[in-house]
Amino acid sequence: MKCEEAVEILRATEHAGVLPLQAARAHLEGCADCAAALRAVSALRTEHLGPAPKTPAQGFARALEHATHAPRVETRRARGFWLGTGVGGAIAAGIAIAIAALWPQPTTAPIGNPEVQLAVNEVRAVSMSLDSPEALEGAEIHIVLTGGVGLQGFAGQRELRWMTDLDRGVNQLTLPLVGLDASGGQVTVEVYHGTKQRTFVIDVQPTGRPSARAGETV
Amino acid sequence: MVVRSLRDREASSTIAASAPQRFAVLVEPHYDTMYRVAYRLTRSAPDAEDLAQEVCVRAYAHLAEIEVLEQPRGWLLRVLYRLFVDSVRRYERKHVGSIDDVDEDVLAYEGPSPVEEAERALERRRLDRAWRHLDNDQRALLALHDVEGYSLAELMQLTGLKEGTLKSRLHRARVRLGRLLQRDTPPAPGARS
Repeated sequence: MKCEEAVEILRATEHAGVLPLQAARAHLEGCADCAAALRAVSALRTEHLGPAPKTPAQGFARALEHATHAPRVETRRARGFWLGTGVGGAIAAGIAIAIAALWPQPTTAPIGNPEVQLAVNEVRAVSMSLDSPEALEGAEIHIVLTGGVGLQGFAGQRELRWMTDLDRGVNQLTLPLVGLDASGGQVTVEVYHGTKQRTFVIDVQPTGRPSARAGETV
Repeated sequence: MVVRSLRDREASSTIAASAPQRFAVLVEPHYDTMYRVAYRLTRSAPDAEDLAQEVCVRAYAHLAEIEVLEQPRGWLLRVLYRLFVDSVRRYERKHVGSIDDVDEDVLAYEGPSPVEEAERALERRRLDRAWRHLDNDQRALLALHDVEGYSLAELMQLTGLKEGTLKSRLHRARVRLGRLLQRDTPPAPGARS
């Protein structure tokens, strides 16, 4: 008799026939795995028969409120922003921002935000290196765009949020920024993991020259 | 004809429900189930609410897809399962370390005797400790099958796993939990080590 079968028979003895029950008991006597499995079944049965968790009052109302105000998740495309780990990857026609440590939080305030020059309609790959002291499973990335800057391929979207795994070490986040108008703007990148959170801001400054890619639409 | 068609349009716009209303009609009846399953998986009331809420966020973004389903419960539970399995670390930050951490109001209690209550508290504490050493997949299978009573057929739909795979994973999870519980159980009085 297989272990799985023996445990199932002993788990529901009221439905088992006499012979299968005898065979399962005989199997149990010589099988430490099945004895352990039955111990777990018994503990979980107590849990099953015990008090049920009570749904919090207003739980669904809060969930609805959260759902209707959450920005759209663009998982598939947003994941495409990642180039992967390591600092060696070349970014064609792009610029790289210095490595930003995720945590611990730096004890000194940053001198200023990194700056990117962008002409109207110019598309520029901006790479940001995030240094993580450990692998982070299920980190949440939140991008907020303000002013005259957008993301190529995400016309009209001012916020993006998605979940990803970060490797230990340097992770490159590359954003194809596009100048929407001559007002300049900011890109805020927030990284959440568990109770930890870090925010990085990139200032986008307009340049006077018109873009060579003026015909490109976002 | 024109008048009638205008009236029809007015009538339909009056009765047409907004997206949040349609969402509530579809999902609210399943919120209790979602919360209960989330609680069994996370063993923490705040984390269970976070997880159920996250399912609602995903579901709202896929409202059109859910509306054509005959029964959205399976869809919701599949998303819940995947969110938990894929992002387990996010939902374990406030794992219940002991019975003292459980908000009394969370459990609909049936008033056992003080001795029974103390024994249950001890069992629960042992189970909580052992639970933390299980893999995310193991927690999900045990919570859904052995605590919530989902059948193997239902689990096959939820997890996308084949029956044989499910059976062997479930067995391995039980064995591991049983061994962890045994390690954490004090020897009976008079027992020789």
